Amino acid sequence: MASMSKKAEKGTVGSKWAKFKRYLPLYLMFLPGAIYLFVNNYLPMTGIVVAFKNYNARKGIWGSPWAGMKNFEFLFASPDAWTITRNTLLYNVVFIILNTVLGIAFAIFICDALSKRMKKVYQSAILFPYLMSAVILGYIVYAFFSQQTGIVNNSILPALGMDEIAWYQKPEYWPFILVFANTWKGVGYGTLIYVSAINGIDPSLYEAAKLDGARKWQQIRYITLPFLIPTIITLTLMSVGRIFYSDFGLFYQVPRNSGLLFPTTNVIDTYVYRGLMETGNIGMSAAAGFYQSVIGFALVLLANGVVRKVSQENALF
Amino acid sequence: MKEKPFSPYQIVTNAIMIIWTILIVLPFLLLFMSSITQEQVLVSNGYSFFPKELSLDSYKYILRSGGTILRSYGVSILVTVVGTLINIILSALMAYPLSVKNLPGRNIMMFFVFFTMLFNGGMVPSYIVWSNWFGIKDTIFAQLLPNLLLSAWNVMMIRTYFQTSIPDTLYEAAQIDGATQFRVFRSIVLPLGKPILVTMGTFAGLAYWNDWTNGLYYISKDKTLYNVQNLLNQMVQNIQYLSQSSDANMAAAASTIPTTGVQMAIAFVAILPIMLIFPYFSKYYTKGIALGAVKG
Amino acid sequence: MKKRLLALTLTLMMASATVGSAVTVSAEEEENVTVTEYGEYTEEEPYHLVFSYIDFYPQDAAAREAVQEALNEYMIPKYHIEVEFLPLEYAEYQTQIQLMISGGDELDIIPVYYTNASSWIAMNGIVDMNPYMETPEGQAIIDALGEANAYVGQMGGVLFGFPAAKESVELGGLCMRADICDELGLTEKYNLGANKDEYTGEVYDWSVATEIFKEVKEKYPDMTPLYLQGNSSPARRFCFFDELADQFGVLDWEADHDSTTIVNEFETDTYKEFVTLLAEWYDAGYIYKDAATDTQGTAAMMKAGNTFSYPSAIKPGFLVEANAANGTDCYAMYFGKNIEGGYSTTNVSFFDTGIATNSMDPDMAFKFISALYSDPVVMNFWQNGIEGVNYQVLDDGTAYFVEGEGAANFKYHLNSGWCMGNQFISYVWNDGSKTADYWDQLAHHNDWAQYSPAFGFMWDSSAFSTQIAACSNALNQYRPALETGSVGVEGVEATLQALNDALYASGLEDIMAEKQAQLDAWIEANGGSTETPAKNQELIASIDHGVLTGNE
Repeated sequence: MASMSKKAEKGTVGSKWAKFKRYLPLYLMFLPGAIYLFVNNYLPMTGIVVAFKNYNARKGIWGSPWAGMKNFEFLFASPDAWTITRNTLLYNVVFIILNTVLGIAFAIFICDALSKRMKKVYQSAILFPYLMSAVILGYIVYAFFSQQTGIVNNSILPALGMDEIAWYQKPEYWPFILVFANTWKGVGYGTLIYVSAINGIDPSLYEAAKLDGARKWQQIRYITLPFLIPTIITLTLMSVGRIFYSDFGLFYQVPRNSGLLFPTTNVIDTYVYRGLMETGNIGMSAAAGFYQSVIGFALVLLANGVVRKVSQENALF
Repeated sequence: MKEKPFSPYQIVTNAIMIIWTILIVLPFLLLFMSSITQEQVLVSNGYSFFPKELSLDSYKYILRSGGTILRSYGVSILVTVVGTLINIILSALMAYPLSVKNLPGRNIMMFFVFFTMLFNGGMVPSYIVWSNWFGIKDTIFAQLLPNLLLSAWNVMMIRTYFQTSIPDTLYEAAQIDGATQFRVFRSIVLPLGKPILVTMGTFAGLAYWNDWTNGLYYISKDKTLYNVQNLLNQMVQNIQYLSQSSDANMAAAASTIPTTGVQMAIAFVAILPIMLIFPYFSKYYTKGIALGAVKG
Repeated sequence: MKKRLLALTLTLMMASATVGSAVTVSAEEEENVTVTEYGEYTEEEPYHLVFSYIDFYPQDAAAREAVQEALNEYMIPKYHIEVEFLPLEYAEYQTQIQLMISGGDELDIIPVYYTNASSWIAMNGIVDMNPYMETPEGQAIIDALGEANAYVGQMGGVLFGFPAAKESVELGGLCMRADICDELGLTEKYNLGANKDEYTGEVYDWSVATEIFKEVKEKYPDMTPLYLQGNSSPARRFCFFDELADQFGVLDWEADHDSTTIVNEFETDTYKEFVTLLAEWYDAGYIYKDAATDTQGTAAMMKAGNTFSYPSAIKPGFLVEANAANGTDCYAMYFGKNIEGGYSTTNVSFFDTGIATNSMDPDMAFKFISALYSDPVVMNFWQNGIEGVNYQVLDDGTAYFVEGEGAANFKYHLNSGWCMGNQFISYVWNDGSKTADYWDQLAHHNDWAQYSPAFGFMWDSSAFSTQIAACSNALNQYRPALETGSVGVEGVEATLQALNDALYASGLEDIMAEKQAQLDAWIEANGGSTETPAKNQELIASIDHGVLTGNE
């Protein structure tokens, strides 16, 4: 009895070691990146503590006196707290949905382009806006919507027999403008990733489907989309983690910091920037970041849990 | 294949893509036209596809800095090339183990990577680590090392691709052949993963090309290490900040810098190299990898 | 699984915690630097001092190095200090300095923008200079700035910086295109003339501007009579409040010069009257339509040729600069509600010169600051470069670029004496019509100042960052539209109401109460509120006409 269990134990230890040996190269491959992440991301993470401190440069991060939750108060002290939270969440949800749906659609269209040359043109064009900084995007939007000199007010509206509109004073138009601007600028990112995923599909699958007489949309429905699901899930889960963050440039530069547009353009990041611009309080900006991360973290854990229930292998962890 | 010229599906989808392409090109055209419009005309008449008077003053202003801008291009190119290469190697190496489904501890490793996307310690601690401990301040490493050398996001995308696009049977076959993990990585994973590696490499490269924060935080004394974005951003930011100041002296300082047209020209100068190079690269995307080739 | 993840998270946190304590140790080591005596440094081993300042115009790097070397040839024997220039960009200096302070980098002299002071002091980033004021070096600064101005950078018992010597009185009006003034006969009617920018007590009521804009609009329908920029708080050009650093709780100086009761600026009649006037102008089409969000700047608009005027602070020498910047000849006309101009802590302390706590030897750093205020050689090197290489001294005692160099192609010329140091001891830069007595003219310009009773008071806002952050957002939301008239006359009432509601909901009352308490305590300690110097009072009293309405 005793010897048996001893034998069994030895057996597991031995197989564990063998298993480890077999996987050792994989761990070694993981190592360089892990070291970098440790240095670049984990070492500075001590800074999160600053969110709970009255930061003192000469005493350092840990030597500074504690501040409790005081640094967080400004996030909720404003009557705008609800507006900025709502805006941040709604825009992100719309962005995630649109970028996924359009990204997949464009990727499929690109892969079915009439010729290789066309494919190249589409592929290059769709990425170009991604290169543009928010400041310049702001100028381009302004070129269209400026009240005095904009193309819309000067050329398009008069041609339609409509009065000019003070675009930068009317918050109701901005959800559309911002969503369009974000899609215009950002859809290329997802598209290229989906293109590469589609390129990884075994062409013989499509050929077999064609032989079976499957129509185009059936091929998409039964071959392409199922194959893209892991990519969609990964991208979405990662976006959910950053759902309390927003592209600062898009919400600050593009509406040109116009106060009257705040009801539909103010998000957490712009609120924090405006609030701390003058004083530059390190503890308060750390607090804002921590708040955004914690909510994102909680939501990701939740979403990942749901994914794991449905399909274990598509969960992130 | 060519007997039926165009199916309705092809016509509709290509029409959509052509319209979208035009929607993308038009603003760029506007951007370019504004950069060669005479400043006065631009301010008084606004932006136009058909400006009344053309002028190259904006580009002249940028070129006035002469050697500075050329050197900054040099820095950008060097950093982008080196950084992207390292980035893609590190990412692929890291993503592969994460894609091996039965690797013990994989979940923890995934979490280790994913966590860095959510939380960050902020500017000051990063500065202390990189500047005080590693002493990269005012060296070329300042443009190379912080934040951009590896992105958890890219690793995640690559591992998803590996996991879904590389059939398990290939691994099993390789293992039966007695191939080591490194061999499997080199001769199966890398060739098959080419589409995603090129794509994520592009994004890593763009991140390097577009970055100006590293220069802002870690370069203060030796401005010869500025990249193009640092240089151009500095011009744009100064224009913005100074022209909005309520102080007369600062407004006077701002008035010596040309404004709108130059910003457009700057934008153009910054993205032009990428626009020229990218179509060349894009041929790597169009190459669908024929699985059969590897299999057989 | 969840437990394991949690454990991992905790382990990682712990790992970074050890890092954090390591940071602490290194930072504390620096704190224990022993204060050295004067003269420990020698000519052979001078004190290495890092001097950061803002570079508003691009300089040639090689030329700057040459200037630095030349300056050191003078500095080392005399002060035993070796200076290292560290020019920063305006757009970036706040971030960079904050990082350098936190990282414990080598850094001595820093520019301090007045709104940053409270948080930089709170993070222990700035050396208190009070202890040095008894030294001869401290006395030199007092001699240069005057007792009141030298101590203006005093917050919560910390003297964080010295203001630059400059014109600080709030006097302003419109800068208008000369050709159109000539054509409309305004030049004659209002006695405008070339280069007439010196203030003589001749100031017009803003209603006169309405007349002018009306005429311009009638004769030149395509022209924008007035250009404003919403993001640069145009209110400052139209009516004066002692903002007490942040505009949340101010003194209504226009209504009562002597009041020390803190009020909400946006509830005062003064403010309402002014935004209503702007709204009337906007409705009448006098103001640039995109004013609330525009960022092009006055010079670009004036150069474009369809803008008639913009509001600006005016001072002697203003027109030379304006003509050059705007590419067209301009006239300046003073507007306001009073003969005298306002003068507050905010105006004076705008930018200050201070010492970072990183300094290895604040004694030596202070010595250098003192030199910036009292040693013309140091100021001239730093501001103008090397004589004969970067600039020449003209016969009349002013300075200008050397032959072959000018504003468009100079190698070294900082022109930032209004920001740090004492420009009054350096050469007058002769960029057109300035004469050797230009600094006297500027100093005389300040004689028109009627001091705010709270002049010298700076409130310590560090405990109120939460309220200030929330209030800043409220202000950002409504101010640009209000102060460019973009809300229209009909919208004024409602927008003001919305702004005030938002401010009160953000804790304005707390800020005002604390400010009032600090101000009362300051007045008590100061032995009464600040008086306007007798010389100024006499000058102001010598004007027998009131504000002009154009019908005299």
